[in-house]
Amino acid sequence: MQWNVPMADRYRLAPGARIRPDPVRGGVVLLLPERAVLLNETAAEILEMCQDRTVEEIVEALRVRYEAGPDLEEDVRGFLEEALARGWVWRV
Amino acid sequence: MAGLDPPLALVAELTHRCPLHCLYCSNPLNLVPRESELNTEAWLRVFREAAALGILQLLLSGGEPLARKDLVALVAGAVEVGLYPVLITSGVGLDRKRLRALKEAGLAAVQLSFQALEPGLARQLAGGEFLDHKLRAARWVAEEGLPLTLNVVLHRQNLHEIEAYLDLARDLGAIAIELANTQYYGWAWLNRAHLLPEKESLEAAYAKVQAWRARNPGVMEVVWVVPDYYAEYPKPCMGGWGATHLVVSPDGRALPCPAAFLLPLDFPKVTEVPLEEIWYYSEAFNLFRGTAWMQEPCRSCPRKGIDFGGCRCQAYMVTGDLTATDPVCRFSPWRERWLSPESGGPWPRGRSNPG
Repeated sequence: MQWNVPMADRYRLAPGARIRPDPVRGGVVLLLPERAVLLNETAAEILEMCQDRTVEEIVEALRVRYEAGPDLEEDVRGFLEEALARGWVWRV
Repeated sequence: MAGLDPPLALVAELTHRCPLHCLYCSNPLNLVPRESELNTEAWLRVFREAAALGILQLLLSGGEPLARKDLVALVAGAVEVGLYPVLITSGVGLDRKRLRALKEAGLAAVQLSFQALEPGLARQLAGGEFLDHKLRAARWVAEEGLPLTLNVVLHRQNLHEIEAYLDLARDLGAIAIELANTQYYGWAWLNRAHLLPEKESLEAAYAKVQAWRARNPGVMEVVWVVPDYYAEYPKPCMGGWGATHLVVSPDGRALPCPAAFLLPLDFPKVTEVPLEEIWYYSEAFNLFRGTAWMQEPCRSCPRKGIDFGGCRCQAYMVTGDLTATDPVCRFSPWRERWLSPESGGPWPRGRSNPG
């Protein structure tokens, strides 16, 4: 599969992005100017890791933490591609 | 009401005071006077109740919110309870020091409005000499690293400048621009003969937007708010009545949308009823939720879950019936009578610029 998210790329959260728990809905929310996105735990974790880390480093950190399976890289890159397209993260 | 989600955003109309006098002002014709505005304590309590209810975004709006001397304290209080405060402003009343104080208090983003960029037109539309200050204010926001969105209300007098707005937003490093075709309520409704564009100039403007997007891919988000008089179907106003937004007027009335002040309904006051009770149980917020309130042609329409019968304010304003189909809809019996150019309707006659 041809990813739009090379492993050496670095991403950062879009300007103004804030991530916080949402006790009312249960989960974590990503807040952007005039936009709010309810995230699952892993998605929130990936976004929080975007600061100063390459895609490769994010994948490795998650692999260590979760003893994740072979799909991990694909999942992370797929999510980041979506996050990029939706403007949640910017390429550094 | 069972199965109802908590609201996402609180629109806090902090004041109706504003140094500008725009022809299309979205505030009611009867403005709330300063002495009837909620005080700092009352707003902070509303913010606490909003956060507890599940509200995430706080849009600090007006009038001109900078007219409130306690704005920094309000932002700080909002951040303290976890809200994401966005300042919606004309920029008038902003200086560098105040902007820094707002940023330090935790302001998340700024949406700044422009009326026009040609100085004479800008002066005429805003009712004063504000353009240079707005340009400075926009630069300060960008320099402070706060996400900046430009907002331009579009109408027949400024559509021709549309590329200049896009260029300005790009050059300022804005994250987004909202090109908002005028919505005809309140003052805009009253002044519609000066504002409604011809279909051809709208189409030309939209073509320019599309060409600009193609020339500037990925530069920023370009939001084109559809001029609904020219649409085939009505807009799903506010994502449905009482679905995502809760608006509080300067004197504390809770409304499901900023235009709802014109409806003959009894809206609860946040000084008398807790926000949670207003959202889930008040008669006004439940009135047009779901589809049971609809009449034909909405009731049997497959689109009723898409546009929710359209805008209640527009339906009432034009037909006098709160539950009528939005007259913009091609299935509305009012559309031909009211919206077709042949009928005269609300359309401008001739092509002269009334300015």
